[in-house]
Amino acid sequence: MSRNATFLSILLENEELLASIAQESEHRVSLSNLKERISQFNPELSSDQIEKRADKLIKSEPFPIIQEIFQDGDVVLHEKITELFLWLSNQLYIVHDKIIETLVETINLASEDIRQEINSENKFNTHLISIKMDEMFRSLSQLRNISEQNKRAIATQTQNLRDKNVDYEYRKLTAGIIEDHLEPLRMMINDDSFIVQVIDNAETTLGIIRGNSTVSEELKSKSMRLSKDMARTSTKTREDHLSAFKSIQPFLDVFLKKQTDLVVGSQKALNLMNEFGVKHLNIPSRITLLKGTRSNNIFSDSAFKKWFIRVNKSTEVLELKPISVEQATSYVPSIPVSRLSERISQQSEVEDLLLFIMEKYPKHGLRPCLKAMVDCMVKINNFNQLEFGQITPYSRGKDYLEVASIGYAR
Amino acid sequence: MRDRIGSGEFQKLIWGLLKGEHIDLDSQDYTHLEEGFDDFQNTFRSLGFSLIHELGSGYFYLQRSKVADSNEKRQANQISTLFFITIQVLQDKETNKTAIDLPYLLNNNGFPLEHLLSKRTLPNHLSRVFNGIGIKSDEEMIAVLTRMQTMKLAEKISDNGTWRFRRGIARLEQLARSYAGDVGGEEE
Repeated sequence: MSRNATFLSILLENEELLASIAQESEHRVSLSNLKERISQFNPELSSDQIEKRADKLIKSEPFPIIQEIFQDGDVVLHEKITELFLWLSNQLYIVHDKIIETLVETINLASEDIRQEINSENKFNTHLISIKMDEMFRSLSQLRNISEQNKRAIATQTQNLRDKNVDYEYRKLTAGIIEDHLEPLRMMINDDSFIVQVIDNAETTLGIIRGNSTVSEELKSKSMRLSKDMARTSTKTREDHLSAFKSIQPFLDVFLKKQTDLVVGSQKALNLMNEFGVKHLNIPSRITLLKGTRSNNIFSDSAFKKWFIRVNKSTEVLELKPISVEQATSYVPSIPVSRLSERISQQSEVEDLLLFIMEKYPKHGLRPCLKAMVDCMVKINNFNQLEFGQITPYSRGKDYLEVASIGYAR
Repeated sequence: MRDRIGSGEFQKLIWGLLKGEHIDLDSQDYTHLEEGFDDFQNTFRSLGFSLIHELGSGYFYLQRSKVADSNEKRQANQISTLFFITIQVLQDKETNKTAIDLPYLLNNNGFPLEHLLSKRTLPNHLSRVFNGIGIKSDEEMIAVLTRMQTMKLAEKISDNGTWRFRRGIARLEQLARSYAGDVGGEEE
């Protein structure tokens, strides 16, 4: 974000706060009061965040929005802030509603004066009536010019709000000022607006003139022209503003309508993406989405069934069997095949390998001895050194085996 | 319920969840998951997943603790970005003061997303964002929407390109809101 955009965003963020300080005498409050106000306008902020917010206002660039006065610890709203708002207002070229009101009031007063003159008991002054009518002509002409100017100015502002090259914060700030300007002007476009009421009253007055037999034809004709002018001006003023409002309103709404956290969050996410790329958002860590086509998510139906069986078995309640101390057996370590094969290979001849192993390991069963013999044969890895003999019976405990004896000769 | 799961009665439901579906209140399976939550949870835990129940929003989905692969990351980025852009477009389109929030998104009448998100109508800056995450044509945009439909996050409701969001979209709504609190470069 550029420095100006940051500055404007700080202004926008604290708009209400700054407006409240602007209402104070000399635009000045104490530092503690400033923090209290920040807290009031932003109840969601923690005390630490309030400190940071105040610090941000004091240290903003290109100039501090709030200036510290070191002598007495007070803070004051920087004079440039009010100037900035004033400058932005002047840049709009939208004629203020007060000027329009003044012109309409001039028409109203002239109309009242004319009626008073006609209703007077004495012979009325036609010259004075003519002068008042000229005043009304002038005011109506000015109103039409203002209406035209506002229409053009609002159209220009509409274009500015649409201009994506201008900072979002600047456009938002301008939209706020435009809205402030337009709000009173909206009164004009209603059917019962003050313009309509004044014109209706003036029309009645002019009707009285035209209905009076003692009034000269010239004045009646002027009254007729003034009536038409009033009707034209009233229609034009209202229609110009109505069409201008219609064109700008959607763009104002974009900036002014209350945005939900969803909208604000989406905007921020897209801005971050634009600036730093999508990886910066680290979306997958925030939202893991499963992908169906991924191989390790696919299980065949049979695999799934097997898995269910396994899960169900594993969740079955285990039946605990009692342990009898009387059935305790001594621990028998496994036969060390490496050492044994080394020993065999050191012998010049072993007539019967299985018998040799069984004698060496009398506590081991027939099956472990047989397995050890095969392992040793593999370990020695020389088939030519083996000699196969007759079928010989071997037994140990309950196990019994009849196989050809295998001897070893180096 | 464990026996029914074991007998394969809910295979379609389990498959759907494993494929990334979000089972919401509108689905008949929602009640099954609700009633047998513990058994389903045990089942999925054994597979390395966690069954999440978003009670307030009314939907279930599976979450995996394992780090996603690059393909999955790309897909998560595309779906999320499409969602962010949709919110932007809806906000710009909405001229009255209606708030764009979750109830607004869950409107049954849906939104003409294929038109709103089309390259022909999308503003340039948003179109560029689409390009940046690999959605370079309307067909690719519709493919992402279709993927969202597979996951039951969205649903196409008419042939003229109108889509409606389903309850599961609350996950993306939460994601978007999480950025609202993040102030870029600031500590607040």
